[in-house]
Amino acid sequence: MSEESISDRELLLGCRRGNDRSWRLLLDRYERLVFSIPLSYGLSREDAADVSQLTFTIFMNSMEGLREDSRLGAWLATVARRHTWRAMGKKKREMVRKDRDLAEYAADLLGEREEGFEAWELTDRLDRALGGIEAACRKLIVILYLDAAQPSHAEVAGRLGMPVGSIGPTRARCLKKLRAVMEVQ
Amino acid sequence: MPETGRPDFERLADWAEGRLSEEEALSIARQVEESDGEALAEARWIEAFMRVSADVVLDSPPPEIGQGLMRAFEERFATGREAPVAEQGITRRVMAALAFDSGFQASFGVRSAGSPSSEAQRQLSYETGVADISVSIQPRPGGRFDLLGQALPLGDEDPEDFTVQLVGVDGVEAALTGADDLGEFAFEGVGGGSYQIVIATPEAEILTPSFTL
Repeated sequence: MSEESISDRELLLGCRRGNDRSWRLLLDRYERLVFSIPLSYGLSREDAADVSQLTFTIFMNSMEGLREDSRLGAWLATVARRHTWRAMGKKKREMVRKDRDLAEYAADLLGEREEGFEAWELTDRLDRALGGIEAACRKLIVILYLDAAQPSHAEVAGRLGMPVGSIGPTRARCLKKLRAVMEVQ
Repeated sequence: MPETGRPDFERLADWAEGRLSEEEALSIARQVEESDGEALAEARWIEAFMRVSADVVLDSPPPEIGQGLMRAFEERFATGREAPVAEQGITRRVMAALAFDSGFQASFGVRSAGSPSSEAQRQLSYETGVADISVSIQPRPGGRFDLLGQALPLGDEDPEDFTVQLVGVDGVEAALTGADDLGEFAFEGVGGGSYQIVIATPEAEILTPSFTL
């Protein structure tokens, strides 16, 4: 069985039995989503690491009480958002508007109209779609568009050892592949 | 010279990123308008991606996080004890105890306990060792509810630091807000269903028992 085909329910049951592989798969599947939630709200990598550790620790202590049909990504994102707010303190109210704005673009990006689409789902779907394209493309898109530092094309060229002139055409090819993967998801 | 035909994906990406001159951008805009539906769909997708990616950060945590969590998992099953959350900055998770439910009180002699009226305002109070919590549930026309609450810390914590989350029975967030300087918070227009309120304070995470609207 491929790792992708293992359901959330199987992961949850495996984790409850103390199966290390299930726990590892759970972390592989959701650690980027959980780590990215505090980063998306401007927390430092250190604070984001704290939120990640806390979120997965709370999951570990709560998994016996979770329903077997739980959507683990949604559950983890719920805890991560709570503790992102907690870590941000009084700045937190600015974030609500951001979530609402993001959800407005979800339909065009995902090719579907869904009520109440949440920002975390967008991050999760992006993460999964990026997992469906080759590593070089994934790396380029993440650095160009999803890196908190927002580096220039020249900096990206330096980091990836690519000629600056090839970034534009390569990123277009990679975005096209990403769109194709998101369409069939 | 104006471009003709259907713009390719790279030109559309350049356009969405604002990398073209004003003249080129106008030309692409015209091409998109006049081209088949696919070019328009591509342009919309690229625009949505650029907009979303401006706000979304996607990154992998440092490997030490995963390694530490693997160790914590192994220790939990080796010792049978819960993993400590104190190391991650909260000292405890607290289950709030229901101290008062006006819905149950009003229903005595009228209907069976556990079926509070969905039309009348309902008041819930909870006690914990960290904060006292009260929630007023106010029905709205159309089967929705406003939840107005207050969390009063027992210690010297600033209630403005409290994060308040409304969570469905599946453990998924229904709404998130912060308390104000008086500890007051509100969730407006909540649909019917079962929920619990989770309040994250600087040192504890307080969970109420679930209640049904």
